[in-house]
Amino acid sequence: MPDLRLTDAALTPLRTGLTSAADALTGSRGRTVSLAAAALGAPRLIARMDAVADDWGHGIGLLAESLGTAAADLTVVETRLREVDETLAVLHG
Amino acid sequence: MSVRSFPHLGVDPTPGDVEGIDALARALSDRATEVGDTADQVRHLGSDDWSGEAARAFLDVVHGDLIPRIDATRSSFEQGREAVLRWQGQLAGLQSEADALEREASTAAASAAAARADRDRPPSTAPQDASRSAQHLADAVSAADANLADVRRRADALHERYLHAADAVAADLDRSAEHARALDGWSLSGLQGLLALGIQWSIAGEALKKLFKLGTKGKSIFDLVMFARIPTSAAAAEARALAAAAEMLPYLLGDAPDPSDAAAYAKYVAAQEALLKAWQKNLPEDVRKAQALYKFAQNLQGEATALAKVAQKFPDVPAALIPTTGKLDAALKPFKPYLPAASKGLAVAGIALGAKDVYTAVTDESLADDDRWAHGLGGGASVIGGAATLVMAATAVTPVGVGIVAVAGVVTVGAWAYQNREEIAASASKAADAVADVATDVATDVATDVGDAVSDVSKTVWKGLFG
Repeated sequence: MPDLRLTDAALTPLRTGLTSAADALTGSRGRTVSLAAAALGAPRLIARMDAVADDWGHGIGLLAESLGTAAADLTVVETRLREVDETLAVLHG
Repeated sequence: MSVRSFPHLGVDPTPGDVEGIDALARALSDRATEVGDTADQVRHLGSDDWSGEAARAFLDVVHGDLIPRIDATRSSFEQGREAVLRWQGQLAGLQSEADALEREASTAAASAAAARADRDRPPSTAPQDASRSAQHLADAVSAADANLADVRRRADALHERYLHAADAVAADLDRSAEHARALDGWSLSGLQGLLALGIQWSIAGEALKKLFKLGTKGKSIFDLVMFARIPTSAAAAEARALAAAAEMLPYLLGDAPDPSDAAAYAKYVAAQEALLKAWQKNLPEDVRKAQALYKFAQNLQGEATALAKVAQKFPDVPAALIPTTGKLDAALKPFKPYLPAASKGLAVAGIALGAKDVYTAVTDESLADDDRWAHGLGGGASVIGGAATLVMAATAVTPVGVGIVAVAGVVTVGAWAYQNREEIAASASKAADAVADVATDVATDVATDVGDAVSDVSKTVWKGLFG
């Protein structure tokens, strides 16, 4: 199974990319929940803007968390794939 | 932010900071760009060194599940920005109206003050004051106050319109966040399972290929043993047929069974069936050999060529008797047209890989002597097996040639096993460890459950004894 032959750095670009994307979204989340809604003027509109900003922040947080989980999964999978690779090397002879 | 004041209306009917909303819209635009950039970044993630089932499973989840959600979040910010900009435009218009009303109220208030001052001024003796009756002055004050009140009522109506417009924008904003709210409860938790599944498929595929290879070699050897036993098996089949005929002979000579004697009649029917089966299997030696050779040849030469060549070799055997169709033959029927080409391709690959192993055995001095022997022996066997296959495919299939291929295959697999003996042992150990880990987890869970149960019982007993 040559497609499972891994070099040391095979999954590093993916993992680094996912972690970087997770960090970017975490930064966006922080800036989203601190949006200045007071300028809108109408109290009910300000309250809705604050609630929506919380929803956005929560959603972005989940996305960031998922990207982080995917990166962590890759770390586990990389270890597993290396073991598999050794087994497949035996199978290939 | 410009300071707005409404001393004559009393209250700002349209509060809000149009310039400040600009900043809010820019912030939302920035968030949309940031999230969009992140989606692009994830979209272009990849690794040239990783492909296959696990990689496909991973990328399917990332592209099919994760990226669309990030894209939806970007759209959500854009929709929010549009709602905010719409409000900015509406607010600017409403505030212009409010400013106009404030100016109007200022004028009306000045008029009311003037009328009041006129009314309260003491009457003079001047001739023009003769016409200023008290009633007239009071009416003038009332009219000015009513004018100011009307302006303020219009300001109230403006405020109502302002609130109505703000509520509509709030509803739009709310809709813009639907994508974000839909993320609640979602996660990529299944990713690891999918990856594991992909890996399992890869391993299973590889193991199946190896098993198939071993199986085909084993089957070839089994068929060869059966070929060597043909004279014996033909003689045994003939003996069984003669014995069955001897059993049947008394019945054929007129000693018919009494149908009323059930046991005797059953014996007669059994003898009939045994004779029929024995005669069906009683094939002469040359027919058996022709059939066996055809079985070997058809996978290398194709059915038509194999039949022609075997019939030529066994002219006394009727051609119709030569092709046999066992269960395996029936199962392989769809692939049969491709088997000759595949066999030849595998033979060429076997020769190339075998030659490489022989070269390694000769040149690689870092290998231990026994490993060099294993490489050389396995590689040599692979070359011989591949060459014998090609020769038989081009000329005629013979039992000796089939034997060479089968034995070479066994030697190749044996040499491979010897070369990788340590890794095979390590893999077996890993598999055993994995099973042990699962068993330990299960045992721990059970022990915890039992421990909890014991603890609960102890608490109950303690409570019963001591309250």
